Amino acid sequence: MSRLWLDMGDLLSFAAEFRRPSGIQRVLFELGSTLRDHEAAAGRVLGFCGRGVDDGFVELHWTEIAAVFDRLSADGPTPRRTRETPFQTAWRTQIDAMAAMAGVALAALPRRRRRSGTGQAKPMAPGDVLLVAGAGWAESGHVSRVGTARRTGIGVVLLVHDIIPLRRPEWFTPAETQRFGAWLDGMLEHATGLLAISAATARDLKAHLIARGEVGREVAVIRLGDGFSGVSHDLVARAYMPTRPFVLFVSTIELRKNHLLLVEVWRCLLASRPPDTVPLLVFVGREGGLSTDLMRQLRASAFLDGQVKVLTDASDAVIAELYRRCSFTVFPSLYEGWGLPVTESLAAGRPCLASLATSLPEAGGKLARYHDPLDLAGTTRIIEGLLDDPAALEVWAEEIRGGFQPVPWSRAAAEVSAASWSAAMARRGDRDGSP
Amino acid sequence: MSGKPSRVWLDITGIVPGSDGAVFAMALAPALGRIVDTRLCIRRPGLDEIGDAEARSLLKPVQRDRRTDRVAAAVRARVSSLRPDLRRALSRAARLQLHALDSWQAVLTRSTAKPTIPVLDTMRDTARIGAGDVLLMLAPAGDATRFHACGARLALLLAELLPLCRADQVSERQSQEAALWVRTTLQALDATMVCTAEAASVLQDAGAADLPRIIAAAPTVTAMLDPGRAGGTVLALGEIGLGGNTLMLLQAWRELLDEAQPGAGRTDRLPTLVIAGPVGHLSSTILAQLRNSAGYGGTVRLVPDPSAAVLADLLVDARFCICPAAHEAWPRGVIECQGAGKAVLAVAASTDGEGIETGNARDLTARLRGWIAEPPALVAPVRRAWDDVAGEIMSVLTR
Repeated sequence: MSRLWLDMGDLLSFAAEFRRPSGIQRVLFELGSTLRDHEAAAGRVLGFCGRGVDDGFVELHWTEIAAVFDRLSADGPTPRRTRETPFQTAWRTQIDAMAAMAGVALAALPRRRRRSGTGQAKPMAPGDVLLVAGAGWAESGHVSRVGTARRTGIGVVLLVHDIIPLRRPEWFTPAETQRFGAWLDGMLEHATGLLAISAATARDLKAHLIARGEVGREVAVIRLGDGFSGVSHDLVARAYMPTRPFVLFVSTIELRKNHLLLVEVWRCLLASRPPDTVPLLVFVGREGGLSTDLMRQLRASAFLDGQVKVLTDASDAVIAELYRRCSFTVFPSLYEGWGLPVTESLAAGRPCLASLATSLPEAGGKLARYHDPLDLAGTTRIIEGLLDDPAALEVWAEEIRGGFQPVPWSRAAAEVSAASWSAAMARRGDRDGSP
Repeated sequence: MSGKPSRVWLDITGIVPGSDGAVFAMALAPALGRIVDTRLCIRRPGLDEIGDAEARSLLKPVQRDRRTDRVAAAVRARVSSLRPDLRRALSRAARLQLHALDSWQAVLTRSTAKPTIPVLDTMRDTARIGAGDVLLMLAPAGDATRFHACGARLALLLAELLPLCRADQVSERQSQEAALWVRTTLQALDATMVCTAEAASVLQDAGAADLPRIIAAAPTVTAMLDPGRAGGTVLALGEIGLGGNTLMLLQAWRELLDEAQPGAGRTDRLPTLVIAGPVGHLSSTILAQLRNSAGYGGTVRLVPDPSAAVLADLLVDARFCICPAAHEAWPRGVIECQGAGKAVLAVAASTDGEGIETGNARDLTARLRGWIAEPPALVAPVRRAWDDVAGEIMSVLTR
């Protein structure tokens, strides 16, 4: 019987580098978890695969994948000092760099053991379908590995999260943009089916396909699930909660996410209102690309004299608790493939003020409210309105609690499974290398 | 203030090297000198008279410390030459190392960017400033009240605004100096002059009173221009960095690019955007974006620290101009553009006229879209001589 295989290589290589999962790794894990059950219910066995020592695919076991993800999402938070001199900053960043180098060395050892031990090569059979749903561009040799599988009669389905490096190259190094572009074009050559996580991403992908001369190639849109499983509610997490009202922004700290807009909004609020009527602004996320100037600016202002708090290493339990206790959440991103923090906020019953950009209105639907991420004064007015009318905010929260229908990951898994099988079948024989 | 000053000490302490304030100081000094005995000086902690050449040396743009640049280039080259799988594993460590080098750069630049002229006798010249003299400060920095004891009068003509209104967008040292100045010197001023309404507002918020707004300022390079020619570029003038609001300009430009090339790589409908000005304190994000996108697909050109001759050429080539800075003590860009007879879009808060709303890239996009589609007509050049400015200053100092 043909099998569906989920490529988890990206999750494992990400775990060797980072301490916390990003959106793509979370989606990959939830899909893996629920697809497994879905395929079992259909009388099939979902296979998991990753990169082998010979650059081919090897089978991976769910238990080891789950263990890796648990390590990424657990542990306590380690809030960082918020005021430092340039000399202290230089030392801290130097120590971070040295720690990262040590981490590379340490990570190399267990990985070799794992490859030679548990990951026994188990070739996929012709007729199987390989679902690539992660950040394959970050893995060396990924396209060639997929190509080899394709040539042996494996159907390849690509789930695209976004193509932002091609749409906004200014936010990535030329090497990153080039690597992503080469990976995507290679995958488009091999893929027998294309899925996208939002209509916005599907639009971007279709425009890219047209630019490649592939007019009319289908892209199916998959609705991701809402919320994440396995988040514990523990007392330790509560100890990290702010003691006064706060507004929450969960996202990697990078230029694309538009933290600068919120800092300016908070400056305007602090200039026009008594400080005790301005809630704390909490950023949760690691420092990512093009964040140096923002962080310097925040440090120079002593984090707006304590009105901004940055948690760079919060565990999933802390994040869940922050969602539950915040006044509302904000997500002013300039470009997204979907908008997980928006749906997480709604799933937690908290109002979300999201950007109007790209896919975010799809993610937030009618229950989120929106602002123009390029309009400081307009955004400030909306946030002032929320602060001035706590009763209306509570009514909004009630609407969310009563009206939000979370999409279970099992439904997303069913959609992905059906779309994968049907896309693989529909294109079988159409492309080079098919059996 | 009362009586014509016998001598004006033009104090450039706190002026950021390479900034528009530096241009302002060097243009004002000779004009004042034609009216009254004018000496350039700095405070550290006494009063050092400095010559024109020394002042220019102090005020020229600070060069980055090249040692960390060389190490960063070596790290980048080494990582890029590795096998792909090793490069992947080491990429985060390398990125963090480059980030660390950036931080060391800040430390090294702070420690090496000291005045290059020798301090001869820091207290000697204090004795030379005396009754009838005016210490005319151009930037808020340090404590100047001790010069009252010598009988000198203290005056301010604000040419550096960011340290007062955006401490987060200047260096830590600048913000500390400005805070000290507000605590000690602001209330002791005998005369305070500003060039913009925003500067007046910021000083009033800080506690200043009696703020004659007398200076409309003057163009510096437009005398070199032959007005009346419509060029083909869009010229953005002002500090390059967060303080100069360049990010908002790039956001608007990206919107226009998206409209001009719906996924197909067409850029020929947009003119070239030329961004010219001093490179500011928080500029790494801007510079990285320009580098990453190869100047937004070749539609954006950067001209850091342009000389007067280069700036004159850029003004001639411009179809119209933009001055995106949100905070201006001396709106140099606007004045240069007006002097060249070019229409200019400017942020409303930093100028007097109707302009772009502060922080509203959407508004800027709409204005740019309209002006690119229908370029505004050339306007009658508005030029003003520095001698007139110096005359106004003297009339205030004499009152």
